[in-house]
Amino acid sequence: MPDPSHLLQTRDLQTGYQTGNKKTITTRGPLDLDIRAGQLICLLGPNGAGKSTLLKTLAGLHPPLEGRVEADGADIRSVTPIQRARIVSLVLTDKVTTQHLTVYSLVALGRYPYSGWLGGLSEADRTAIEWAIEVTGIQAFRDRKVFTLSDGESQKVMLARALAQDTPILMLDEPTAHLDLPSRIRLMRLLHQLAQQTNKGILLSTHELELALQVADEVWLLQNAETLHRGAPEDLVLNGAFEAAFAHEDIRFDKQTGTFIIPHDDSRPVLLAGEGVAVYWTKRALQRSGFVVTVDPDTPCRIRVSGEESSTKWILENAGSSEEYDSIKNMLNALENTVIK
Amino acid sequence: MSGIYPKIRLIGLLLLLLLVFLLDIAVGPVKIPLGDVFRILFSFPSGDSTWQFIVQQIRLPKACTAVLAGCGLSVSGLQMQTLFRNPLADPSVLGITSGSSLGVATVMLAGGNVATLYAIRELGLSGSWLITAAACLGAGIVMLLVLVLSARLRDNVMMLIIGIMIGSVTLSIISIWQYFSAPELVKDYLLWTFGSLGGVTNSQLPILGSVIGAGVIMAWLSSKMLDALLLGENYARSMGLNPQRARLMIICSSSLLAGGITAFCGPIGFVGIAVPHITRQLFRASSHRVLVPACCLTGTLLLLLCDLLSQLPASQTILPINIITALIGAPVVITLLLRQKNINAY
Repeated sequence: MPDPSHLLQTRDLQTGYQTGNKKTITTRGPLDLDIRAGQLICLLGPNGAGKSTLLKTLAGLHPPLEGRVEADGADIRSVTPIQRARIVSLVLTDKVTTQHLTVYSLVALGRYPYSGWLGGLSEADRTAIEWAIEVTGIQAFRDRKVFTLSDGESQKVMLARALAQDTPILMLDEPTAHLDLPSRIRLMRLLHQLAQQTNKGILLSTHELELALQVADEVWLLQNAETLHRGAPEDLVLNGAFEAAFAHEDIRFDKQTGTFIIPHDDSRPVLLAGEGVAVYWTKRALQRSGFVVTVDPDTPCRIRVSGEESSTKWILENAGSSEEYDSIKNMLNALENTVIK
Repeated sequence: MSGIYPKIRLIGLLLLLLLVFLLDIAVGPVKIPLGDVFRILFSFPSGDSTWQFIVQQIRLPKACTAVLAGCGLSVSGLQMQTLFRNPLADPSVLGITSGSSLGVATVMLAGGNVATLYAIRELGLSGSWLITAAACLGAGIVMLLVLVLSARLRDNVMMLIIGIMIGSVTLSIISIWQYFSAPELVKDYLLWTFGSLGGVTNSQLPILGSVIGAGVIMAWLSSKMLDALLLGENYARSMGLNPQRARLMIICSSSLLAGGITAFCGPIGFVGIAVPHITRQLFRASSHRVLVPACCLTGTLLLLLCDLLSQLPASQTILPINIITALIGAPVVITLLLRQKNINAY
């Protein structure tokens, strides 16, 4: 019995490629996944973990090795291409290189499953296109040629095209790749809002772990073709799934801050005391410079952070001597010299 | 596409087309006064029966052939550039015209004859149909082969190389046959490969016309699919395009166009590659609903101009059309590519 809030469901799914008799499995199942209305799901995983294949399989563009993907109780591979295009829309990593295509025409192509024989647009089509252009904020360059757009602009245009397709499910393959940080944040926020306001189910694959932690309602974490962890992002942090998925000898996941750190071999212990934002950033600076922040009270080298925002002082205590510094940089310089001595 | 400029441009192009069409009929190795040409064209009695024969049986069918070939070659080039997502694709580059040549040669060989202009003219109506079918089949097989191989490669440059290789293979099969043929026959065949618009008789014109007409209409009906393919096959499929049906439709249409023209006129190069580029620049459009008819317009214009040029230099002889299309087409393509910022864009 299909649950109405489940837009898409998988049954015993296993994805991969089959060439001749040779099977290349990218996600070993059986996977039982579902996408619900109004939910933003981030698909995370290292390069080559099979994110794109899973996405294309869920969208019905790629045949599953085992099991099936169901939308509205029907197998997504057995419905007609037009019907499928009315269920799932996609934003891919493929580049559009056509010279004379304008932004408006590109967005209008999203109406393909609805428009007439020769692509003629009805009033409803035009309304949908206008809405998509407005929501994504691309009015300013609606008449420009697509190939003149920056990466950030063109990603928004591709999103507008997918929105014009007016589907309950929207899937995006690495939409934040090639974007600068503000564009990445804006795009993620826009997707978050869209999921809530339009009640669409949105699934996106990304490498932006920190952004995903902030906006995702659910995270699907692919771990090298073996397992897929799913859950609230915070749960996956706490149960060590993130650490395991990205486990690598020269990178470590810090549960405290939700970031990756590069550990140094010759790590030197430092005790850090104090409160507020400055402590967080001091900790980061110390980690970057190859120090390990401990809570061991016997550590000879200690740093105390005190004072308010603009008048923060860093007090470095080492073997009885105590010195005060007005910036992290000066404190670090002194610390390096102290420890080497 | 708003404002008065596109309308003026369209009317201007149509008037130019009419002018060039009439000029193409008026000019030729035999001097016929302009007044007489018009009188013959509009079926008024004219003084000279030779003139009447020349205009009605030679020049008018030739001009009509130029119109059909111009439409067919440019529309098939446009379709192929979109299908293969490659600005350099066209029937002759991808070996599709060579496939048609092989088809034509096979029919000629089986009939104990050789593919010469004379032989084509002498063929009866059933023979014309047969040769057209063989040429279209040859074109379709080569195109299918290129498509199957390119699907495994997913790379434009590789696909182009494969097209050229298949073209070479078909040409060498023809060469084997040429090698064992009498020298005069080889010369005749070579003349056919130069291309000519003058090989179509009044009675064959309806055959060519219906084949090209069917091809162009199919192309126009598939313009929505072609538009979707502009974004690449993955996007097109995500929007509900049925890739098998789209490919079948485009291959059928392109094979009819390229095959039909090659059967009657020989392999004509450069029109298929140059015209779509010129048309996109001229009309600043990407929608195939506009581009297909627009390509017909510019393609016809270009081929009529080429035909006109082929008669002018030494007014007693007519140069093979392929020489002129290459001389005009190659610089046009180079200029367009240099002017474009992005070579990969089409």
